Amino acid sequence: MTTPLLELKHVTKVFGHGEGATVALSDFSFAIGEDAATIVAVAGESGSGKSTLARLMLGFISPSAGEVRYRGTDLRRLSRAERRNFRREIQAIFQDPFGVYNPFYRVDHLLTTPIKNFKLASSRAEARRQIETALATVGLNPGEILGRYPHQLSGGQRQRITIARALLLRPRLIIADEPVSMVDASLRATILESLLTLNREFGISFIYITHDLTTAYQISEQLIILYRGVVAEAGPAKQVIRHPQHPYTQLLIRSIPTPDPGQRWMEEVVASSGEGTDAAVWQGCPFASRCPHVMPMCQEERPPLYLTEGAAVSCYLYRESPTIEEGDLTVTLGALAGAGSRGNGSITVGS
Amino acid sequence: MTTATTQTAAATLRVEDLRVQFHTPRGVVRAVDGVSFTLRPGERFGLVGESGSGKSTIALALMRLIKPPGRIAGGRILLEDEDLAALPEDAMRSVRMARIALIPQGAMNSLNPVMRVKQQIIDGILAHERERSGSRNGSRSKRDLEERVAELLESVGLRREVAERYPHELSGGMKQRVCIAIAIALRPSIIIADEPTSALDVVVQRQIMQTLGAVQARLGASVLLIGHDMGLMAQFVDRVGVMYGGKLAEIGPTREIFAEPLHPYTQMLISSLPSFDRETSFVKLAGQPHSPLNPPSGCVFHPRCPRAFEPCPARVPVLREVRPDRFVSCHLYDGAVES
Ligand SMILES: Nc1ncnc2c1ncn2[C@@H]1O[C@H](COP(=O)(O)OP(=O)(O)O)[C@@H](O)[C@H]1O
Ligand SMILES: Nc1ncnc2c1ncn2[C@@H]1O[C@H](COP(=O)(O)OP(=O)(O)O)[C@@H](O)[C@H]1O
Ligand code: SF4
Ligand SMILES: [Mg+2]
Ligand SMILES: [Mg+2]
Repeated sequence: MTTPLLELKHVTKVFGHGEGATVALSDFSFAIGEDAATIVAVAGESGSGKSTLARLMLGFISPSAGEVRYRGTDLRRLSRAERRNFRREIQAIFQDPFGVYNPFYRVDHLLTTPIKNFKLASSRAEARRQIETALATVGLNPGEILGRYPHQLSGGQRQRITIARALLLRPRLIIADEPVSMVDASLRATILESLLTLNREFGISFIYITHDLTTAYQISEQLIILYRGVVAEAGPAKQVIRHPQHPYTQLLIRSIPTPDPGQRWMEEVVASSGEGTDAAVWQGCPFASRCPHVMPMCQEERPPLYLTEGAAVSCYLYRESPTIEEGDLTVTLGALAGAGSRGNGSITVGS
Repeated sequence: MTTATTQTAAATLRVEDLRVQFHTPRGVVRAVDGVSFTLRPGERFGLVGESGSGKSTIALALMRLIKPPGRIAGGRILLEDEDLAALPEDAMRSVRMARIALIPQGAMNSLNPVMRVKQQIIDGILAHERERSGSRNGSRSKRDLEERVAELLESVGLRREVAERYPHELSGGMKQRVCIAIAIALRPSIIIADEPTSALDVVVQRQIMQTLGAVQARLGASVLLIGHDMGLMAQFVDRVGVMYGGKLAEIGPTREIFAEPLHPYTQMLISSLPSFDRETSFVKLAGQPHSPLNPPSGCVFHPRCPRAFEPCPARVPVLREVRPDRFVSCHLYDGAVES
């Protein structure tokens, strides 16, 4: 395997210290290569460590233990030139598209700045052309968008402009942290489609972070389920959602209200998450206190990742299966991806 | 038993041709434009629609909480036989919270950050009693009130110790439970819940909806649930009203609407629902989103409707009962009215 584009090696992030410490992410290893553009979804309830993972990958925060590497080099040791490439090749899209806009500038400003900073165009006309192409790619009409102020645009338009902006830089990887959670269902499809276009036509990989399994199912090839900073289950998205194996994944899927009035969704009684208690102080399986299958061993030591038939699962119910070395998911996901395709069926993963 | 478990009298709420307008510098926004529906005693009724379709404005109008530049521009809101739309403000104060209560959109994030949960619940009770009796402190002793707070917290599945906490010490689910407790403090017979779970994770969402269902049953109240998630509607409400552009497109029993939607908008909503069982692709609503400042002529949905025909751009369809308990506002059913 060639050097991955971005790699996390046994990454742990702890916020605070002593009694009040929170382990936001625990011993997480994963890599994104360049061979085939992919979409990996990371899903989990709020507080499960998704944004922490995104911020670590973007170099906004440093791990408490372990390393985040860009093309083989620890982010903390990048040279100026490497850092510049990192800033271009790895882009971010966030939940709130308003956050990146300066209300006093026309949206043009947001789009010309990266072109200037990275000297992507040789003339103004060339810059203009690039901007128009990028806007058209995400389904926006440049004539309707350019010259406007942020408040004159809808939330969906603003989010698509941030996608167009990322596209201008021709990145290899976009980390999208809940990019559709603040837009309407009817606009969600349009934005997700833009992400798919970037993936298919420009070979850009995505880490798609969400708390919503429905959209993960629609666009991702791989799915990683986080529970309190730990990988509960990972595998091809379709497999994990249709045949969830970890008791937490099973609970998540059963909790989604389906449009079938016969589901009897209101009837199942579920143990509370111990909401408000500190996630830092546990040993054993983090899900043990809520798990309907809990066994004595679950309380004692954290279960390793087992390689089951379709997925990697951190649960002692699968202790007959082989364990995955070093908790590294990448190889496993690569191997499992063979038959994997995303939920809407039209794509298979290249090898 | 405790006062929290006392049954309240079931009530009927009839909304007739409700109109709410916002007079903005850019023009008049007809946020709610002739909406009629009935909330039956003890039932769970859902209002579903994309954002901007007027759902929250209906909720605020029912509570008579529309603020300028908005106003109720027409229609009646009949609680039993009293028209809330015509009630003087001081009379309305004794209706709010006591007979009809609202859990506003985003309420869990607007709890007062520097006030203990206990005080926020007590304030709600006292504000009401002061207005009713005209006295400064209402009639209850401090111990009475604290006991009432404890009962309320327990009735929404929280430990009584939560009374002493501040909002930032609570998870999202706990905050939403506190909001439910505040809303039911005076045992209303109608509970309006505006997107009560859209900020919560699915597992917590279900627990909150179960709590709301349990509270409703204990009070014998009816619930008006506002939201955009068809899945949640399918699981919670008995009947559902589908909003589009400030109007109701369709009303009917939930099961029937999902089995056989009649309005083309409802049909599109239901056929585009994602499913894990079948291969779905993205289905988008064609055309531009509804623009409330510049609504189309005729049927508000006609520019996006795949089945639009001659009368649609010309005449406004009226909501009519085209089958028993099925109300539709669409020219396709002009000939189907039973009378
Ligand atoms: N800057 C911070 N300081 C202290 N705790 C934090 C900080 N950022 C995140 N956390 C904690 O880390 C955990 C994971 O948070 P986060 O990564 O934001 O989760 P998610 O994005 O899945 O909701 C939470 O318990 C959160 O409270
Ligand atoms: N205070 C206000 N001033 C002007 N327009 C408003 C105001 N409140 C709501 N509106 C408009 O009324 C319409 C309906 O809004 P709302 O009831 O909040 O919809 P929903 O709850 O379905 O998302 C929207 O077009 C909105 O912009
Ligand atoms: S390891 Fe044990 S407690 Fe954890 S999910 Fe599996 S069975 Fe449940
Ligand atoms: Mg987050
Ligand atoms: Mg609303």
